[in-house]
Amino acid sequence: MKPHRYFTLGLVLAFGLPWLVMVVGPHAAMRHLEPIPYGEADFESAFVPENSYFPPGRAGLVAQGYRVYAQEGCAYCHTQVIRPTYAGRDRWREGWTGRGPGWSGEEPPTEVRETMPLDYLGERYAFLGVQRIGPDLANYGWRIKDEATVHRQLYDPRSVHSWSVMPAFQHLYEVRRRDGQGSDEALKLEAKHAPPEGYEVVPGDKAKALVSYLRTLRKDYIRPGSGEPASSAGGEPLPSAVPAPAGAPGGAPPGGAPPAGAPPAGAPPAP
Amino acid sequence: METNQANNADLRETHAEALARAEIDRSVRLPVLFFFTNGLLWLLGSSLLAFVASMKLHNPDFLGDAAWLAYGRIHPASSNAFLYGWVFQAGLGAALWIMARLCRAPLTGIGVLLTAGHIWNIAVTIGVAAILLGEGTSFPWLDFPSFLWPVLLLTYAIMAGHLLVLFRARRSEEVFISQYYLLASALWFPWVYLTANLLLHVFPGAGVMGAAVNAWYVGSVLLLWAAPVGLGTAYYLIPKIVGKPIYSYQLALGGFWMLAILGGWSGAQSLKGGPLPAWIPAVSGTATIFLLIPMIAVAINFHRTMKGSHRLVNYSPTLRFAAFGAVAFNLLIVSSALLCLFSLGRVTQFTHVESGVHFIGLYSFFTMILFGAIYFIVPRLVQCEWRSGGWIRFHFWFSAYGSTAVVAMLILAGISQGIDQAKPYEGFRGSVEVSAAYLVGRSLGWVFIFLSNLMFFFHILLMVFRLGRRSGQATMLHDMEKELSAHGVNA
Repeated sequence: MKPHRYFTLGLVLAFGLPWLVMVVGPHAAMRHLEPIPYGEADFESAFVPENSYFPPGRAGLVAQGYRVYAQEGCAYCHTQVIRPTYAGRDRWREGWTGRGPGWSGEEPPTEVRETMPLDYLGERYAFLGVQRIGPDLANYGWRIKDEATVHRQLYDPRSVHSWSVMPAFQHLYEVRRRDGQGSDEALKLEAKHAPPEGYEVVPGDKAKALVSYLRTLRKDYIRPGSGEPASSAGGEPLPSAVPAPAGAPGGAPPGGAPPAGAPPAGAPPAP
Repeated sequence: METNQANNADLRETHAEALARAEIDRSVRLPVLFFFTNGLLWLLGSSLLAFVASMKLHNPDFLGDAAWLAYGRIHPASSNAFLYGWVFQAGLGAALWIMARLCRAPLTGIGVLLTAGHIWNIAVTIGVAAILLGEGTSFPWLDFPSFLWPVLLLTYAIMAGHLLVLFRARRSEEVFISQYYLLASALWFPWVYLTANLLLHVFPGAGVMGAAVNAWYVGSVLLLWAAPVGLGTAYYLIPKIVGKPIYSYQLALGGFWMLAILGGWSGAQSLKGGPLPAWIPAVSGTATIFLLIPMIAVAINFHRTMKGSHRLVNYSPTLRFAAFGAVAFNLLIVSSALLCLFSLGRVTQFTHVESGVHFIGLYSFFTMILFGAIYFIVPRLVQCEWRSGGWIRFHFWFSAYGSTAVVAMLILAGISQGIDQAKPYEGFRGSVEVSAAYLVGRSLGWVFIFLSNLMFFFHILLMVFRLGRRSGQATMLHDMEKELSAHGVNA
């Protein structure tokens, strides 16, 4: 072989090995994750309904909202990751936990478990995020008390938190002439951003989809076989998975009986 | 010194060799100037976008609430415009010229190359516009809508393919270290880009692995494209200007192969603690720390090559920019390695520090070396010299000051942000407020960068229109002969 053939071969080998091991291999493996059915032990130790799966499906305009989340670049300021203790203190941040003080103000701060691959099941691309210019959204679904506040925050962030640097997503909303009593959906805005007299601001389709997607952000479901106390999930029963008659998913999941039903019915986001 | 060396060399050269070199320069002139000027336009545009994005983080109502100006759109628009508009075009321009020179072969297929270059620019324009109009993917550094990647891949393959064609047509026996680096970058990038896009767009659905592939792509662009092109260029420029061969060729080769072996493993360390199999970020972090070895090899080599000639950075614009970039390369690798440590990484992860490190890689290191290359190459293509050493000094100091300010402010903002976010049972307000002042500083840094590049763009336009100085003496930062004789030194 000529010397430059060795050179090319060297380049291919040097890069080919990490390419296979770090990228192609794990990617191929992770495309075939399946939901895990909860076992007997889980039904005893926690509020897990029978015949349910981990993670349960997500209902709502998930795919459409996921797309808005991508288009508006939300992931550049918000992560969806709770790091384990050795890598950070995310598990005890106010509001990042399932139901911290941000939820009711009465309960003591709780902790939340770290995120794991199955929490993102069915997502084309998990928006783990780049930076935390804004708070983590891994469990944001818990923090939504009422959608009206979320819409108001998206439309005029400074009216909810004066210190917020979030962009005002006014283009996702519609300013229209008020009809009679006005719409139930109309945002309750303060002077500065209030529409002119006789007009109202209502969420557009994209805003509705985005909030619907945000509602489904929950990455604290009880892990099958973990024996976790229910407290980390806030003591609320998990939504039960809807059994579907589809064929059995391939690959036996670890630590449980082979799945009898199909994966949860929640539509995986597919923008 | 630069001109003296060149003059001495010229005397020794035969007439035929001089003619051959002129032919080579003529053959690459059009494409190289095309890439440089278009790249600089993108650099100006992207710094303007980056300035607005930076303002938005401490002054969110700056320029109003227009949808296309929201941070989530304008930030990816600026980073992609910077990467695909400036970094790739400037790198390709310099790579083509250096490759043609070292292979002693004229460039052929100019028409195809220029067509590909035009399509590349159109594709980048469409991509940036699409991000601003809300059609971005939010995959960092791969934000363009999915229909564009085959176009970019194909045009890149054509443009970089010319490097391979030049290499095959080479008329010199020797193969230089710069050629190794440039060939490697030409081969690796299509592979990296194809893999990332196939896995993210054609075979999606791997959830967290999508984010890991993306992180690996970002690391690979830095270490398997920007690093080899920047280092290959510096390995050409530094020995040329000090008029000495590289200190140790063995060391240079060792550094090259270490980077080649380690580079592909790096990237996923930015997701340490993320919901991935823990070995993936762990392996990436280990590889990143081992990158200190090739870094030391490169640093020793540059330092020893410049030994005794360090004062030339006072005079040669090329050497000053290249030396700044070479030092920044060390900073890039050392800071990347430091962030892999859990003790530090738990504070800096997901903060401005990480974008500060990317900025060191693409600006303080890569862009500064490429500025040096442009100062070296353009006069040889247009047969006139840069208008004014003072303008070059302005460009250097504003770039050096602006980029250092951006890096320092991002690191300070990130650390203060990270410390605040490590407080358990606390809300988010503190981390926004402690970092705000530093982010104001970053916006000022971008003003300096924009002004410096505006000056540079004006300067290069004069050169392209042949309005430079007509002189056989290269333009220096300061008049070398006058200063040295004032100090009693013979130039």
